[in-house]
Amino acid sequence: MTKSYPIKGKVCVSCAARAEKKIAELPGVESARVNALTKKVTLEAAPDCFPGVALEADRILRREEDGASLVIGQ
Amino acid sequence: MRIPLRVPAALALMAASLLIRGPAWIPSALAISAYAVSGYDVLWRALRNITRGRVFDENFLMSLATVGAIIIGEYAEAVAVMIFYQVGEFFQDYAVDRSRGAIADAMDLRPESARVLRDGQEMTLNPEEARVGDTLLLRPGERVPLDGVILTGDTTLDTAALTGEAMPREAGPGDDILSGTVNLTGLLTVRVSHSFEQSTVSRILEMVENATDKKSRQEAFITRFSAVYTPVVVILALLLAFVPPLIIPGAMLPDWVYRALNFLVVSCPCALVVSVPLTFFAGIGGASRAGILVKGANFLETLAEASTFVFDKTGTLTEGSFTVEKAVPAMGTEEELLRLAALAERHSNHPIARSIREAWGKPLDEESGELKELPGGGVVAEIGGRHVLAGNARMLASHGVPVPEYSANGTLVHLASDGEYLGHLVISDLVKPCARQALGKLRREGIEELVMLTGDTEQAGRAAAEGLNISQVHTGLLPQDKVAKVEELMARPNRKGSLVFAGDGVNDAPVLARADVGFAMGALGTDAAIEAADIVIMNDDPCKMASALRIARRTVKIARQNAGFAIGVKLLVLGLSVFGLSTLWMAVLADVGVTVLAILNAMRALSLKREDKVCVCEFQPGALAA
Repeated sequence: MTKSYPIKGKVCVSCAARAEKKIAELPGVESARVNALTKKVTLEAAPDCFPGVALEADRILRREEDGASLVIGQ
Repeated sequence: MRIPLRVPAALALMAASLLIRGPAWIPSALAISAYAVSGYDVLWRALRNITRGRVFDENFLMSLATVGAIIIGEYAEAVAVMIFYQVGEFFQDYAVDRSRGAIADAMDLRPESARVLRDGQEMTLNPEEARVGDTLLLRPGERVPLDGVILTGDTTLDTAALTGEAMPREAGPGDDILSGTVNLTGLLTVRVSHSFEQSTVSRILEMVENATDKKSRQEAFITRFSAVYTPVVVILALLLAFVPPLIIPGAMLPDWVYRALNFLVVSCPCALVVSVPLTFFAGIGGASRAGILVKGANFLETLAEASTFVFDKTGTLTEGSFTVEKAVPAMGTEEELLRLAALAERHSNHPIARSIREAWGKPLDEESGELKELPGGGVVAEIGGRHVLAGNARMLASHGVPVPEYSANGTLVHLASDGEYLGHLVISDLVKPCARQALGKLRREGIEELVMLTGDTEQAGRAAAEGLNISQVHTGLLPQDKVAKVEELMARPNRKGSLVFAGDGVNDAPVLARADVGFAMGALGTDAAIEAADIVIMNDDPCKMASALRIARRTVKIARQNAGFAIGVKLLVLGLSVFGLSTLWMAVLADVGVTVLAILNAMRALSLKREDKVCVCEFQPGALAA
């Protein structure tokens, strides 16, 4: 299953690339894309991995870029 | 505190530090305050990131450089550089935001509201709230918010936002209407057929947005490059700072430390890292304004390298619907020949049969008796007591009627009655008016190899190819043969560029997937094509392929310009700083200034030349029979 989350706040392109690499290494994540231009994070993982992976991804993103976070609605 | 406030404050403090006389500590304290005001966030982030294990980043480099400057006593320079850096970063963010906004505006298809009639009540909704089956009301001049079918009203529609086409399209009850188009003249009621999420507008926007998820090779390279680059630079800087003073006689440490600081500041790869993705983003946005949807930045890159274009004939270069071009009777009149053919073909579903019936056009007054359709051959019919054959030469021959040799541009349907040869109809698939010119444009762009593939007969294929000036034609191909042919073309050892395939998407999915770049044509609303293709041309116009090629090449060129410019300037200033010929000012300028220029340059990829938005072709008349 693929889900996308908007990014709140600014992300620099290199931070996005670093976050992307780390998020892709999370267990359960098949693929990850952090797009600084469209300000979206797209995650591909098994359905029951959500929203866990999204929360993890949010943590990683915050570490890489202060002031950036994922909008995980429900 | 925001930059616009901090910078003047820091400047003021710095000015004060330079002007105020007094005990030595006062100017120093003022200078340090100026530095703190201008750079506290940079320093803070640098420290925080170190604790998170990320040492080598922009913040660290700038902190190191400016702190180093302070240590060697260059207060003014440290403050100046920090201020300059902050201003530059601010402007860079602003420029990126503006670019994103410009790209979004350029693709602005999204309507804000939808007027819907529910239970006799007219209400204004968010388009997302509308349901399938709702009745949508549209006034002249409004942008259509949802996909649907027109119930009442006639109008003309401006499809430019989706297709880049300037010519308005007429539409009336029963016609499909797509979100993103503008209802020009009529008052309409429309039955909503797709939810907002599923509507054409949403799907297009999503596709274009997500296109930057597929990175170009350049972007992927730069990402890897910058990860390695910064640690290397810091090490080199350390060497630069401490080694020469040890080994070169007379070399002063502060001198070399200063050069090393310079080195550090210049070395930031920001310009590269920001401008290349932005260039592709702009290129994709620009293409979508021309009615060309690119599904990945990588496809734009691959398209730019194209050397071979392979076309499917039917539906791509030709209209895809058969037409009777002429009737050639061996005896009797043309009209009689056509009438007999129509009677024979009255129940067949074959496109050729349909074209014959259409060409006849009038009601069929005579009774057709027993009709038998022979697949791959034609029809045998009892009409008015006569034993009639309508089909290809092979079929007639196998029924004992020899057929004279004819050559013609198209498929021939021969007719015989009671063993006597009556004549034939020439049926062809008309070449699209723009096709010849489109291919000419591709040749002018330097594409040397144009290949046509078709499942049609050799005659029909040859005819079309001649009309279009294509030398390489392969006919009689089944879908799997087409895949094999494309693979064969791609496997050639001396192949220079990429191979592009253009098809109508409906039955070309495997070939589209196999080619380096797959173009689907006339995809307005067709799911299958959008799925299979890499680039989707929203209207039927083959001309857009040349536009797509031009846009792709321009985008790649701009990206390379930016990369080259950024690397070139940096290397230059790096070199200068090693020899002590650059100041920290120059270093920051080389970094921030280059980034901003690169971003502005990237925005050029967004603009379209006139000829890419609208294709103007000479009209090629087709011939129709009876």
